[in-house]
Amino acid sequence: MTLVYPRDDFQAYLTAVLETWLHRAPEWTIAAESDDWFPASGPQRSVRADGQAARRIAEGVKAHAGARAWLVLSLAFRHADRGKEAVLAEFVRLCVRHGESTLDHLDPEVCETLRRARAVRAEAHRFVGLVRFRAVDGGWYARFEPDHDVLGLLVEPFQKRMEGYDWMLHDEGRQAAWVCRAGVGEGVRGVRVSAGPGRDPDADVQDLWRLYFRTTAVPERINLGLQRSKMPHKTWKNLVEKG
Amino acid sequence: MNLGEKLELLGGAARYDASCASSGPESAGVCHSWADDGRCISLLKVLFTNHCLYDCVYCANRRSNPGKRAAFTVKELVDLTLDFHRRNYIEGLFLSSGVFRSPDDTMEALVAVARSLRVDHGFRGYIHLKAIPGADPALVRAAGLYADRMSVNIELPSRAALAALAADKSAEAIFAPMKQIAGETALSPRFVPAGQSTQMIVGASPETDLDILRLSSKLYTSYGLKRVYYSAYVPVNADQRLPVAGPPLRREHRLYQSDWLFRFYGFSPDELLDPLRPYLDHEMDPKAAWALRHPELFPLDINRAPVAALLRVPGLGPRSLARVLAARRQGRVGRADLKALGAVVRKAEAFLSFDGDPRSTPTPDALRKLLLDPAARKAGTRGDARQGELFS
Repeated sequence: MTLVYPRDDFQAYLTAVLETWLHRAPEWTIAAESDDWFPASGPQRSVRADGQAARRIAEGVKAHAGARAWLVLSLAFRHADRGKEAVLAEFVRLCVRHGESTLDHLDPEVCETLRRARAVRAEAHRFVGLVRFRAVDGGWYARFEPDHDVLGLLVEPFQKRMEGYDWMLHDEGRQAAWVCRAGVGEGVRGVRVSAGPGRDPDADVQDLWRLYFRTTAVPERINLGLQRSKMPHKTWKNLVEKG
Repeated sequence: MNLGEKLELLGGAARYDASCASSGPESAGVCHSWADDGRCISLLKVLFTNHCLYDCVYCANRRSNPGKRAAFTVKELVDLTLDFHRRNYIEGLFLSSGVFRSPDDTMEALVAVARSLRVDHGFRGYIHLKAIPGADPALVRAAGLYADRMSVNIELPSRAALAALAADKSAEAIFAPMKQIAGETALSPRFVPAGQSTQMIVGASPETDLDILRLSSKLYTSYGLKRVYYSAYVPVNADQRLPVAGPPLRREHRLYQSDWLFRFYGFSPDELLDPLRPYLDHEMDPKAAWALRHPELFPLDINRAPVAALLRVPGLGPRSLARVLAARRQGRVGRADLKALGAVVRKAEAFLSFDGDPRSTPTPDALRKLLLDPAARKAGTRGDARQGELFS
């Protein structure tokens, strides 16, 4: 049996984990819905988010292994890897088995979960800097394309920075956005935004930023390889200074 | 001159200042971009003006240099900072200046910018201000109440170099605000909450790496500095008192690595270098070079060795070591676990034993090759031998 949950829906995933436990069926697999990748054979069943079931898993992980293990699990779930579900389900089981010392153990699933959590955290930290807002009608808009589902991790830092303004942060690849109006924010799915015609009203400030960016490099120390290793090419299209 | 021309001139004039990190309680090291030289852009780093009373031999803004001069107005700089910050281009402002009219006038201008940002606009981004040597302590104090971090550039690594290359400046004038900032920081958590830093130019004068690291170590302990920045000298003026070429950038890099070692790994400058060997090895990081000179201390049993000793193993850092310690509380740590623990296996395993399992490791020559930086290693060849040969 394969339990299929909506991609990126953590509550639904945890609901599926609980189902495998309640049915004492560790051989069941869990997979995310996807357009181009799906379990090829065998029976499948859709699982929708059940808040109570998800809470049971969350409380269980926290009670046995502590808040940090729960944080690691939630971060690792945001990782883009396909097939992460089995590793994370085993991590949940190990949380119950090892208790508070779970993260100190060297089980492959613990190491893998930690590795994914670190990668997600690192990408979120990177995008705290690499997101570029621009003035749009009545507010501020930024789009970016992270590998992992880090949108939710960026809400807090930008709530501080954009305090007093309406703003929208848009994960283009996942068509997801965080929209904040009058200080109240909400996550929205299925978002597509296209640029309007004519000159960008933000163009003057963008020109100054490009000028500063060019000026600040020390000509005697040009190192484009280092620049590219820190700021991968795939991020450039949304960067004013490189786009 | 329009705003763009000023930005080009005064941004370009500030680019040789290395100390531009937004370290602090709120904004821990967020890089917003990376310039074409690979350096992190975190702050809008500009001079208020490039007019300068002084004639420091190495400085592009020296009084006797011809060329365009300009100054921002307070409003221009404040608006530019706000515009860039709101769009998330920067974490804040790094403001330095040439010394125009007097140190007091210059310091007042820097304070006016910071005051306007904080008071008139409620700016909560990061502000780093230079303290101008010779300025009234009351102005330095005012600056410290608006800034997250302040810095006084020590400029050169010795009094002799300062006298030869920056005759208008004195060590006393440089150390006075540094001492004041250290004192005020200790008294009030609101005063420069991210502490103070300094910068020195390396390679414009003849001091050795040992001289430089001893000075840095004293600065950390005497003035409670958060960072000392090293800036490899870049020739911008032709002058017979200056070297024709700057030092290799690798020298600057090795100084930063050594600085890191005495801040986080418990090393002292005199462990890394000595008067007979006063320069850092450019082909190998200083921790590896130290370990190679002390075969009597290795191998260390990863499951039993004390923390302070393990921290000195090449390829192990504070974070990977914390994971080693946690893991060894749960069971035996084996050679195969090193990668999962975040160690640099290539370096670490030659200096470690695993419950009396001294597997073959390279000979001293081969080990040196193994520890070389990748570029240097490509030129070498590998060899193998028993660990016993190295540590016997």
